[in-house]
Amino acid sequence: MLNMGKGFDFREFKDKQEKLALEWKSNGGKVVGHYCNYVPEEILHAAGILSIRLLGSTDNITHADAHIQSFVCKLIRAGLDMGLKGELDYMDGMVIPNTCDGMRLLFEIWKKNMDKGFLRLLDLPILIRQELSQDRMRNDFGLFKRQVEEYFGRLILDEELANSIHVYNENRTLLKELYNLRRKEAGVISSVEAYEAVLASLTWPKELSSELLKNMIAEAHKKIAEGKVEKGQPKVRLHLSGSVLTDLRILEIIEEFGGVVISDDLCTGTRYYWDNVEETGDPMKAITNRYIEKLPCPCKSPNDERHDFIFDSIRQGDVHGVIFVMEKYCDPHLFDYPLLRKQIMDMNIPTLGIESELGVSGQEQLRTRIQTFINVIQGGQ
Amino acid sequence: MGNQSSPKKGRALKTSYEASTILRNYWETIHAAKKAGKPIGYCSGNAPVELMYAFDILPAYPENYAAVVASAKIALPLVQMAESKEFSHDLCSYAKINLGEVFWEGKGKPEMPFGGLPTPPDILLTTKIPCITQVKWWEVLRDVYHCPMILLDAPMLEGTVDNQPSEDQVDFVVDQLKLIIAQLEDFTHTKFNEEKFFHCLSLSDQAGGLWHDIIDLRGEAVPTPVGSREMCGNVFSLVAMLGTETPVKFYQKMKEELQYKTWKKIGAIPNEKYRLLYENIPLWYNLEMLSDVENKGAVFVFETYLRYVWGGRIDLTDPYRGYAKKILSDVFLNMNLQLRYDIMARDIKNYHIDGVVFHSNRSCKRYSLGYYELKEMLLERLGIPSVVIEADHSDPSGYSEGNTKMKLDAFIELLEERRNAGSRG
Repeated sequence: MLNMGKGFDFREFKDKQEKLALEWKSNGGKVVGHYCNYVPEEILHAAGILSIRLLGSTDNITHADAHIQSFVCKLIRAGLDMGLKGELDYMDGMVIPNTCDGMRLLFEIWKKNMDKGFLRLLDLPILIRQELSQDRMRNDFGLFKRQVEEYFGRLILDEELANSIHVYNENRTLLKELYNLRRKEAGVISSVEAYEAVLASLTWPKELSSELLKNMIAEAHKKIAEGKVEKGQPKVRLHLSGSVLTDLRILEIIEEFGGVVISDDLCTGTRYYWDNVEETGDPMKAITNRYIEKLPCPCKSPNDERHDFIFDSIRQGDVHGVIFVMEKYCDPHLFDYPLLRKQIMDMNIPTLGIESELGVSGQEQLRTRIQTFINVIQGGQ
Repeated sequence: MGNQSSPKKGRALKTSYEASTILRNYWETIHAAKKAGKPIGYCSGNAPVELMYAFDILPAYPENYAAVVASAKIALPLVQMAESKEFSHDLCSYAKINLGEVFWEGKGKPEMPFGGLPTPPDILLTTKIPCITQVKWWEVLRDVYHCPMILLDAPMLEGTVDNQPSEDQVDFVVDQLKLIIAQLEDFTHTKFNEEKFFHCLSLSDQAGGLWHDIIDLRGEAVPTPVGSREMCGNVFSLVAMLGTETPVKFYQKMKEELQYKTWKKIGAIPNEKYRLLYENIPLWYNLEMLSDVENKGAVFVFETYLRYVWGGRIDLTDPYRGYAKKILSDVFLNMNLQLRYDIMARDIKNYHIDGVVFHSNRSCKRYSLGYYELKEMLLERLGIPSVVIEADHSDPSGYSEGNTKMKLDAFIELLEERRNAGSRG
């Protein structure tokens, strides 16, 4: 969608994201960064704020090591590093959720060193299926809305919220449509393009992202209608499991060896866009309900729903294998991994575990492992 | 240098000798209860254990047991077993030791102290208050043992040194506690005995109060009558037995002995020169680290781990809210960095501390992150020097005793130089 074709470059992608943010600001808008799928972006959007998901960086850490230990995930360290280097100075605020222990302390370190703009800790409950916690979440979201209003000096009207809900729903619906299309017509859109589209949705203005998605989907339909979808070797269809995926080279390698990603439970994937907000009734209530009911993150308990989502995907019968891309030091995912993997293998689905730090080192080894994995599946088909 | 570590000398306090008996009795009781078909619950740190005792469910602490395993120096094969079952090397070593035992396969399993953890647990109780690790670990246990898991959700504590949690936060935890009571009624098929629960809270509060007195007595006294290494062995009953008579009796006796010792000015070491604060969980496989410094006239007189993780006072005039406040407010890991600094600054003054040793513990992100900030704040605002040692509380792989020793020796030399410079100035 960036017309970069093969060879996705995260740095280039980030530059484009910053350019768009500056454009937004030059039109009088504000920009707030955040770190998590549980940040109610609709509230920010309704206040005219462009909310940008911080996805870290693959650059070397130069400033953060003096402030945070190395046994924390790269997403946290890289984000802090970007902040300390002044790369996020164009942002008017930062929202950090209390999800895992690393994030909780990241907020403290951020506050100590960069206490400026709209800096907030979003302390949400962990037991999202419990009524008491749901009430607390309602209060927390209400408080968050008031904080946004106070800091940015404007009220957020119900009709503005309703409009933002609509904008976000449209975007999520398009991303889901793209997902379904990829699943139905594996190969019609490359995995790299599809995940790039999610990264763009996470970091670019939603209105622009939706426009690009519409074009992408229309083109894909056209390709199908004209019979231009490549009919080569049957592809090995994979589910991708993990948290953030920004190093899309993994997808390039998968496709190079005849694989295609048709399903995922990523934080930069389905977990971001799977669930919509109800468009009727009280908008704040509807927003809160969406974040309570959404496909959960392993930082929430119980953890079964994400696992069931994966099993359900596999049960559709078109998944040949599961690749786990696990961020190093990500405790919530790493605790889930061994038993989840075993359950998937018990369903006769082969799995491959890849360790990542916002990118995989040892490209050759990675290529060999992915190639072998795909070959093994092809042999068994 | 390892062979030069201080030989295990006698305890500074006679009462400390009773700690091992308490530990042994506890494990015998819990194994006997399991054998007799009584329910056993696995409890994690800061979970509402008093409720377990009120329902006659005996709590076992896999976390504490992992510390026992580490101090018996048999952690490594268990850690390796967990890693061979694909639990990441970077996960908490308490969890890895436990999961190594749970998933053990084949020969070579070390002989487990006290006959191992009683299995299977009948119920699991945990909370996110100290960390999310406990919750994730308990989810694994729930999937292994297919037993109910109860989780106490709680918000973070904000505010400054004397601040209490907000009324809303307390309400939230009270509601949670009442829900847990209902869940435990369902589980045990018995009606909740509130009177018994209040009695457990009273015992818990008494033990917490005595423990605070003990910490104050040894912290305020110059010279201090007892160092960290010995006190780390004395905390067990505060971890696992709050709500029973045992810690009350034990700490009452210990307090009296300390009163006598401080009155007589009997120090833990002959010539106390430097008073240190230890921050984080001890290195259970290398507790000698805490006493080795004594050869150089330094002694650990205070540990945030012993004071702000276990125990705590409860306002018994309003038991549910009092209990909720204690759960929220007396845990170091549930505090923001500023609050932690304020508390440390207060304690450094009260306990006449010369320097701080931070253990940057790769197994405990929640405790360790923010150390570089705290270190800087202590130096800039209080002129208190500190040193950071890198280790893990229970996984000895990758630990260098020599390096740690060198760092601590150099730190004590620094304290010496500062003092000399100060006396010259």
